[in-house]
Amino acid sequence: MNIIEIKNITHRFANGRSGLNNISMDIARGQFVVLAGANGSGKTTLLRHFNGLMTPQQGVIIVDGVNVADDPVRARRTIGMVFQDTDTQIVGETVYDEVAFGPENLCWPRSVVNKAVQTALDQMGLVHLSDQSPHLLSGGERRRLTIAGILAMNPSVLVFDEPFANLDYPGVRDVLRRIVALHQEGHTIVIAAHDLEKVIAHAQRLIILSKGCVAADGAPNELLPSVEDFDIRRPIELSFGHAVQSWLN
Amino acid sequence: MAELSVFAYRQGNSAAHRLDPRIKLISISLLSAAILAAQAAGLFVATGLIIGATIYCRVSLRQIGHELRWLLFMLAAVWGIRALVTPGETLFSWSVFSVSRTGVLTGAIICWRWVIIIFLGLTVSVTTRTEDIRAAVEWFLRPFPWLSPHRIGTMIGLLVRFIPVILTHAREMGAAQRARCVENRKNPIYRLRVLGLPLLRRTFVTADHLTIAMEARCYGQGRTAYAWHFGREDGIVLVGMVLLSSVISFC
Ligand SMILES: Nc1ncnc2c1ncn2[C@@H]1O[C@H](COP(=O)(O)OP(=O)(O)O)[C@@H](O)[C@H]1O
Ligand SMILES: [Mg+2]
Repeated sequence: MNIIEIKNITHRFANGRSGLNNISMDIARGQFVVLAGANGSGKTTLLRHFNGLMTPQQGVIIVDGVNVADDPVRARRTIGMVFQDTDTQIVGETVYDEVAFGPENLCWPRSVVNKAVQTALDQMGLVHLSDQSPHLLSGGERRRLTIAGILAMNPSVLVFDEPFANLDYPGVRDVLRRIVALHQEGHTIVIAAHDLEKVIAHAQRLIILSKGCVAADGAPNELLPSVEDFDIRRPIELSFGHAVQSWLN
Repeated sequence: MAELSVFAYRQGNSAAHRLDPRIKLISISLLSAAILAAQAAGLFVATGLIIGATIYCRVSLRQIGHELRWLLFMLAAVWGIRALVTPGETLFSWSVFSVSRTGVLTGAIICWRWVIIIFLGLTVSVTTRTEDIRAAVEWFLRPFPWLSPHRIGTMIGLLVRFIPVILTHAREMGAAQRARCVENRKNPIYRLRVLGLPLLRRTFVTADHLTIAMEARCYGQGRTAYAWHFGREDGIVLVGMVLLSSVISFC
């Protein structure tokens, strides 16, 4: 069954610029999807349509069988979204408060909130930092904190917008390892990225956006040889006739 | 990310940390009012207490001095002006200026009061999480639903959270501009424009991203209620503070 169904959406910005052009796609429950495209190709714009943060001028988005336009809050509970910039999405004064923000917005009873926060902190390996100020965390820890903040709301889909931006090598591996674990637990994963090498070894499906349109959509192995046509760097291993390597090995 | 200021919350588990935030807010309001009404004797009592509290909170005096240098400078100016304009027995004079004895004394008392109040605020802010202050403010505003306490509470929380971020942006931009020799431009209006406008733009973008991120996490009208725990110590502290405030204001 498809958890996200997008039917012919078109988005035009207030200044008349075209953002998305007649995009359609279905994302199956439990799939690991990479959404690739050059800067400005419309990845962020598309992701923000998933949970009603932006609305299309034409077309519909259906999340878990319900039109997002009819019930955006339900879509936001189903789809947890991690934004690119960690500084501007962390609202809490401590790690604990930050993770509790979402569950508190859902008006869960205090005991349920506490439990959800503990579980999410544990999953992201942040329990020992619970009373720490988010300012004092490393880049990788802060990224994990943003993930914990949405995990606490127990979403079935996790959407990441450029999750590896500004991370060093250990940071990338750490975050990637946890994303892969979340996929194995049964979450649907959508990752937007402008380069493929860090994540493509784990993807089941690659969707390429170019100038607001879907340029290609299929199995990574089939699409990888031609990604440079869409201004995306081809992982170096392919040039030597090897398969792409996971960054986790 | 942003550096922390002396006023930032420090993690801990002292009695001051555990106190009900509503009691803390009532206490600083009472004490501040008492200090504003107090004369020298009351101020001595308050100073003794505040020195104890500052040591207890382990705040670095040098850092406070550094962060509050402009405020201290302003207080010194207030003192100077008081000394000059208040009529009374002249201590010494120079051309048209004359410094009066009453001026020096009243000026000193005014500045002394404010310094104590600043330290009072400091002891509360380093031992109380913003989340708790926010909840307490919301609680006190509950009888006035037309003020929408929930929104005011969120605004306070975000303000405290984002001031360091904005200051960090300002520092980064300043450094980048100095790297391109902006200091050679002597016109302060020009300097203000090239720093102020981009900073303002960046602050609006930050606010925009923040709104979207909050919306994505279902921020709306209702929220889980804050877990209050008003205990016996809180009652004792409240009574103690009422007594203390009366002592300070009347002696
Ligand atoms: N609010 C907006 N108003 C006008 N144009 C915008 C707005 N937001 C994004 N754009 C433009 O839309 C295009 C797609 O942006 P975006 O979805 O952020 O791309 P990506 O995330 O793939 O880098 C870019 O050319 C960008 O400049
Ligand atoms: Mg983007």
